Amino acid sequence: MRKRRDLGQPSDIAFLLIIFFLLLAGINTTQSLSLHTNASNVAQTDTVPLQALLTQQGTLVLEGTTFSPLEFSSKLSDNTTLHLQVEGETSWQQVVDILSLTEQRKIAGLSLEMAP
Amino acid sequence: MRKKRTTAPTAMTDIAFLLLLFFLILAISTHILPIPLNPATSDSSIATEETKHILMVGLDGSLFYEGNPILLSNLPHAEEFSLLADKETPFKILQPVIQALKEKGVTTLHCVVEQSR
Repeated sequence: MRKRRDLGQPSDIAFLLIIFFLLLAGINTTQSLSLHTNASNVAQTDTVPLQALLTQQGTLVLEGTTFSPLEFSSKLSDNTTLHLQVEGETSWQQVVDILSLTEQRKIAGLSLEMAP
Repeated sequence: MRKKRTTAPTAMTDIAFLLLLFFLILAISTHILPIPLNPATSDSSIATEETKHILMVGLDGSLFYEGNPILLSNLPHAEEFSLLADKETPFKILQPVIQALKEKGVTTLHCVVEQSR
């Protein structure tokens, strides 16, 4: 006759599993968006320069026309060099949203400066 | 007369493991920040993981390098910096910091964000 093996307390195993998944969910992976500070100094002849103003409401003004960030993303392509002027009261989150857009569209260059 | 031991010794190792995992979770989930910060979020799938030379900027413009308060002029030389700022920080506070880092020869600034859920 086969001997029944003692597998330990099932509640202990359940606890270990709960803690394992808790640990997995709790690990906060910090991520970052890269901003190349010397992008404006590099002479790029084959790129299309684009100058836009990021307002404190989160909208973008391009050649007198106001765009939402989503509408603005369609203007960006891989050969665009964006010179972004940011209003002083614009929150960091709104700037990060635009940085995120530019990373997704893989634009050639980005420079940030304060709007006069 | 000594009583016979009724609990299995394996139960003790289970408890030891549970305690170990408990303190492990506690250590991982407790991020000690010098100032309360609510980082900006991004849903960008191509965000890169880079967290060296962390420079924290408070809502009032106070600077912390690797967890310690620092002046902009005393920052060490490095080609890459990670910038962690509260999402509500106005750009007029961050712009002088970015400009100073640029003048110090920083070529790449990693803007630390949280993955939006």
